[in-house]
Amino acid sequence: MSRSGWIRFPALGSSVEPLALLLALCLPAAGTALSGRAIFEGKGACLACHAIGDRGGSLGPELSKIGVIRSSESLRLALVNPDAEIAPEYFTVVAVTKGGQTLRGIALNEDDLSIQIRERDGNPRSFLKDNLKSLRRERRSIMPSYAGRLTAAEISDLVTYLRTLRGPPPKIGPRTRQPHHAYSSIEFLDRIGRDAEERPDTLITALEIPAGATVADLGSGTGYYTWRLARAVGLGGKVFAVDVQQAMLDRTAETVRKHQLDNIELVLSDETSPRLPSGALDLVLIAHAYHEFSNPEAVILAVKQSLKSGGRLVVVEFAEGHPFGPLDKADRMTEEQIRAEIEPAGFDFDRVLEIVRIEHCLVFTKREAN
Amino acid sequence: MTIRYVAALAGLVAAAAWNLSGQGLPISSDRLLKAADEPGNWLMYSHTYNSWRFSNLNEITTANVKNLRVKWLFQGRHIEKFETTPLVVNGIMYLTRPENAIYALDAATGRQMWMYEYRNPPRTFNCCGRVNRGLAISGNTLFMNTLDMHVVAVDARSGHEIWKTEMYDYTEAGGYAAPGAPLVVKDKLIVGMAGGERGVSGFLDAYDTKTGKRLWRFHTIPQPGEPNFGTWAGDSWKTGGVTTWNNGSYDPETNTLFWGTSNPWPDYNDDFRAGDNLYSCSVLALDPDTGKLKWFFQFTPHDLHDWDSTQIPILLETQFRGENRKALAWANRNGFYYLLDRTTGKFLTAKAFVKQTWAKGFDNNGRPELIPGNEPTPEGNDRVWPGVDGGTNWMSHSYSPLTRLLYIFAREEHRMFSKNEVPHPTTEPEANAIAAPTTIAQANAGAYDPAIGGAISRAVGMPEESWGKVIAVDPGTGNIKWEHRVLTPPWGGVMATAGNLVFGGTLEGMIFALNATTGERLWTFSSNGPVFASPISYTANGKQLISIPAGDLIVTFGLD
Repeated sequence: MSRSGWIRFPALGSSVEPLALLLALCLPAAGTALSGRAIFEGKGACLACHAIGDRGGSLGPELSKIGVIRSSESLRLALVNPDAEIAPEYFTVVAVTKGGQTLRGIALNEDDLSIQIRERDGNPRSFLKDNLKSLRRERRSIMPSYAGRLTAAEISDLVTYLRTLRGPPPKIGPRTRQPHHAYSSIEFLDRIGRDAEERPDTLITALEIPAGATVADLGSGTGYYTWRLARAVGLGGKVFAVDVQQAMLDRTAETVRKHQLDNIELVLSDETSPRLPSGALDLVLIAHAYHEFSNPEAVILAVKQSLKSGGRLVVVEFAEGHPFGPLDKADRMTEEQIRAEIEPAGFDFDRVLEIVRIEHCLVFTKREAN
Repeated sequence: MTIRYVAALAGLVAAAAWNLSGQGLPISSDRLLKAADEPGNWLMYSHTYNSWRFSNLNEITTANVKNLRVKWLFQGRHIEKFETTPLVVNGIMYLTRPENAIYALDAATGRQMWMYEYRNPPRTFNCCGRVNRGLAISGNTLFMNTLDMHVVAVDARSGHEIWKTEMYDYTEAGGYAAPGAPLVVKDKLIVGMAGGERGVSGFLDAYDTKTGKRLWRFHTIPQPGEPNFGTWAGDSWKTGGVTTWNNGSYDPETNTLFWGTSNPWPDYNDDFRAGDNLYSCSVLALDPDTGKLKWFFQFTPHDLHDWDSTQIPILLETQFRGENRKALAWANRNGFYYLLDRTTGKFLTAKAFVKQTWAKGFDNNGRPELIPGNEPTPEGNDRVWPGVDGGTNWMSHSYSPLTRLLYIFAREEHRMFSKNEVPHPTTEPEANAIAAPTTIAQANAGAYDPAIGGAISRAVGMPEESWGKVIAVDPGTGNIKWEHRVLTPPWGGVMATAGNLVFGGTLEGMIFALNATTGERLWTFSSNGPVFASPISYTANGKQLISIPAGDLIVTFGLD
């Protein structure tokens, strides 16, 4: 299985409806995830090469968080066609020694004098290039295709199981950061090069918002994401642009006018409620605004109320600890912090979108009351 | 072997009898002019004013280089890598360590004698690491540029600061910095600056070595009323970049200073800067006494690929079409090797030394005839060679008068160029919100910077599509005599020696010596630290040593 280090949104292409996904993961999925695990550990012999935590081999990527960084479609593709999305560090290296021995593995390191290879048995070995008759890389994975080895149903079970691998749950406790008050730096929101930095179009594409959807841009600011959302949902859809500052809403309105869109409703909210209709939304995007909420718990509960069953909440924040991004620590959050604050409010962590390295983009789904 | 070669070698045997231990301080202007006569010392960034980075020392030869071994290491103990070229005077090495510290070491052992540390503010704005590339020396004084746009003069005997001059407000226009090494010409210190990934306005300065007083400033973008002012659309000249971040060369015969300039800003988006954008991507020929422009040659008019022309200018005499020429040899980041007449700036010839896709030829004045389809695009254009870091970059080339070959550590690289929207250039301080890469890994990845009108970091294609090569070029024709290929595009330069060797180091930290005549690899050492600088050679206790930075180490080799 190739590692997800690149942005490859065609493969994000989950055709699974959020609701179907939720159902697959929760109710009947218990069975299929269980049988998927049995295949992973038994017939598929996946542990020979992949580890989950401290169990398994080291030839392929560690998988304990694979369920949040790869979509079901991408996982399925990796199982039936492992070469399709392979990253260079998993290309097959074929080394032939002067003694005529042929070794296959992945490269761990290389310079002009030597190459370090992890062989198929998982053992690292180092070769001086002078001692090799030939050395080549092949753009294919060492992992075999499971298309002929497992049935379609078994592959589906395996995918379902892999999607349940989402790392340790966040430590839920008292908030570890001090929320800000809304802060209006139009200059920052309009800054030079923001497109290159955030790749907003890639993000919106990756979210695969169906035409006709009803969505909200919570903390719409200058309307930077609002108009893109409005374009994505189309004329049959609707975007609520929500902000606590009238000045910002005015800016949003200006942006919307500039793009000649009329499927947007502006909502002046307050610090505790986004003032959105109940049970009406398919998706709520909170981009670079969550950290400014003075009362995040109340707002997120209200967001949950506003979402339809199976609706998604998307939170985008600058990544704490990344050398790019705002200098002020209060403007950044860790993935753990975001999860620890959103999940207790009644959301399931769905996945991470790796759009740009400087941001976390986390997708949550509304958890249904059991 | 030609007769000329034998004669030159015989001359060098005599040269080896010069003062091998190196004369001491003070360093006069005359000694700088004749730096080649002091092979035991390394008195300026490129060793000599012609920037050959050639060492006359010949104790280490093709025959005995296999016995070379590590003599000492200097531990930088810094998160940043070394990019410095040390100076050596009479057995004492002076080097800069990131960010702006100066160390004096016993060059025989690497033991520290004194240290001076210049403290930068917590936030400075160099594009590509908090690095420094070296010192200049005059009299008893060392000179260093700083990341916060100061020039400092430090007593080479004590490490005490003598003067400190602010060149410019380093926070202006998104950020100025001065990471390069300065150059002493007579009583003046020539200092360049960086910042071309922001909307800065470039210049080259001269300061009085005694007092630190600024004596002239040459604006690399013509100011209103000056010739060539009209080569920038609208107000784009105000924020056009065009910095001077590497070192230059000096021709005493014509009293001319040669210095290369950087790209125009924004790098990948030219929506607001129609025109040739002079004097970007050019070499400037200046009168060092006055800072007046004698001539210029623009290698890449209206650059769109960040192909800075900040390479080190190499001054040499060569045969061109049967005539002896006083030439300027320039292997450019745009992938072409150029030969100019250095007395007039006249274009003589150009030849690609790496794969290139953007120029089908040159007119008589050296202006490239462009091939369409090489422009950065919003979705990313991966059909452009060379890559954004160029066929070469700031690493030093070397010229050997013995082989009469120019050695270039070149980069064959396949990368993506993308163009993004950049609001009309302004000097909003918010452009500072994005920090420069601060680690080697980021520098290696070419971590992208959003303020430059494009994201350039995404490598594309197979690893085998990019590599490095040391090439030996006949300067008169640009023909490649031999090529020595290495695994990855390099960031280090090369040095040729009278032992008929070429030294250098790779990004993986393999330090090597090649046969200067054939390119055969004769010796290697695995330092395992990325080499981001160029080697030097000098003597300590009468023995020839080679020093080269690798990661945060300075590694020094010699024979027993």
